Amino acid sequence: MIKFSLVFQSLLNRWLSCLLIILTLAFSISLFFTVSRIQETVKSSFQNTVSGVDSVVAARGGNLQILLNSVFLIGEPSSTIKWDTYKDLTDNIKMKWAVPISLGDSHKGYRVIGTNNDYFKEIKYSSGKSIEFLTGNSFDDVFDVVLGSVVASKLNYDIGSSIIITHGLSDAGEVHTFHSEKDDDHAKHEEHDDHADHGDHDDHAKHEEHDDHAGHDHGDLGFKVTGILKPTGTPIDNAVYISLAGVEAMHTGWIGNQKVIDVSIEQIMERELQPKTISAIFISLKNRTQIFQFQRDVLNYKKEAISSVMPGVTLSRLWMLTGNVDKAFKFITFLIIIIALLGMIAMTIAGLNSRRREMAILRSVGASPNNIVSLLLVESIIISLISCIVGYIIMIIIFTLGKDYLQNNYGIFIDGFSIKSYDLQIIIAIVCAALIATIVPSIQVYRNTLRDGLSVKN
Amino acid sequence: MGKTLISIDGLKYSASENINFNLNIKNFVLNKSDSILIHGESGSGKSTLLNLLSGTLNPKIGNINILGTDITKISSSQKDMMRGDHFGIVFQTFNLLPYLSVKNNILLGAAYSRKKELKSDKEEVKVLMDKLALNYDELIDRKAYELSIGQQQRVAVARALIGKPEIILADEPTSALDSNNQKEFINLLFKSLDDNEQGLIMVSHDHKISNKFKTVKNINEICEINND
Repeated sequence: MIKFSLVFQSLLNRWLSCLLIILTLAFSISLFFTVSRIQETVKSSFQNTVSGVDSVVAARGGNLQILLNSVFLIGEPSSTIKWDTYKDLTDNIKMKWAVPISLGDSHKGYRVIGTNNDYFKEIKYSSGKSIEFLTGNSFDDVFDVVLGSVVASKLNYDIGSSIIITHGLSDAGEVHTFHSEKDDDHAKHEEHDDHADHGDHDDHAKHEEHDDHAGHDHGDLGFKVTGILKPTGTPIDNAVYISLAGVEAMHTGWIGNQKVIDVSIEQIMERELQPKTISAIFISLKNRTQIFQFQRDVLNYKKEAISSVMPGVTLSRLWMLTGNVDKAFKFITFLIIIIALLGMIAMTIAGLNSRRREMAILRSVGASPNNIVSLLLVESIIISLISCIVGYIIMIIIFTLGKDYLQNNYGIFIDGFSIKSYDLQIIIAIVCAALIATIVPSIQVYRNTLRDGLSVKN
Repeated sequence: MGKTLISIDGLKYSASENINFNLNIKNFVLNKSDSILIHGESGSGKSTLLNLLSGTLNPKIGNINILGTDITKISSSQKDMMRGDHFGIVFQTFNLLPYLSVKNNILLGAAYSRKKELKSDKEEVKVLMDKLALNYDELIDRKAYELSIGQQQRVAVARALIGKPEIILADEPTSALDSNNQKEFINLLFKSLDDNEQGLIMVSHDHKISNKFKTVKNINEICEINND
């Protein structure tokens, strides 16, 4: 009992240096916990950006490009595929469902996805969560529009708001996507220019006159917001959804980016609004084991050159490319813990000389050098345990306070705080590391006590 | 066990490595109820003697017999145990752990001993403090650094005496006290000793306190020291 209070009182006696070392350790530990958790969340939300989709079919191209395009809404859409191909595939292959999407337009920098109502019903995210409506409904009219949560909140839209869809992707010279949300990000400027510009400007002029020429408001055709989606933490939040008929209506009277004839809404509505081309098809097969057969069928499709991409596989590959970055990040936080532990050793060693008297007194009442070393070890267990607990609490606070911030600003979805099975292992590992770190001062104490005996030569 | 507490025979000690310091003791005995005052100037080997007696230094040759056990033949952890069980030690100054309360400082004397069993912590601490003229109620929960030097030295005596160890070693315990306090300290120390069981060895260069001791010797009468 006295021995325990001895350690405690001794630590209290040096409370300032102990407090500092505990804070250093606690912050580095909380950093480690937080980074591991965010890494996990980002990984799973990334790999589950789309779930339940067995294949994405698009015009022949690289897997990655197709995926970035159709799922992450990054980059220029590749060439389109014919509506007949969609018909052909759905007629001939047993599918649970097939959702066509049409890309290429935008609203104030947010991508427009032309699709049908099945999109909201069938597409899942984060291992099988359904897309839900925050307010309103899916579209049932040509000029109805559904907004992703980020679009609605950033642009302050509500049900009934009237919005204008821009032809082309280059509104304000930027595209809002999952991975690049910076408002001053002009990196994608140029690749959109050739799409939206008239081509008779030289390269320098393109930039300056960009805003005048880029994109073409379909001035007369106002779309009306009928629904807003709940946040998902995926690119789904960053898109504007209209019906395929809406896409077709928008493009009536246009060839490429040039308006060739003026058409009134009445004229448009009279036409049959059947799309002629689409950008990609999300497909879920009836029998998932048929996926490889399906891949072959798609490759051998004669009428058009198309590819099938398995999103899960491609996302994992993509993650392996980007995943190393956060491994490095995790490694750095690990180093920070080591640095904090080194700080603890430094503190202990620095304190040893002034504690030689203390050691001699303990020796005089019968403490062996081993007893004294064990006091040091208990000290470092107490310090590291307290640090772990404080660090854990800091992490909980970070998660509780930072949840909304991360969600709103970075689209990173964290499921609030939860205790993970490996937390205890990490804490035990840190305490063990602290014990190992105490070996150095322990050796010194051992030597000191043997040399000093009962008399301390100051 | 008889009445001999310590007996030393033909002991030769030399400091390690580059320090040329040799200390020889032909014969030395401490019996129960003995009180020996050893005079000597500082640097005359008093500390070495105390370290040898308490088992923190090892002689090259010879026996140190403590309560029938030759401590030159036992392991260092056994020696530590011997010290915890049978010794009470008082230093010159800075005897106490400053951050512990008076109570815990006194109880520390028995913390590393298996023999010094206390029937009741509070009771035994109180008895000792009363004998040493320390006000129990006032001081018991004070931190050691709050006490005066005189009080600290008396608390150190209480720590040395708790659990009734057979051998009390004191290394110039009065040197930091003024002469009034010195006299009082020595009186209280002797009052607190159990005359029938305990033996006291005190090292000091102060001749004024000599009259209380049964035996007064110069360090040179006990040890032959060579430090050329």
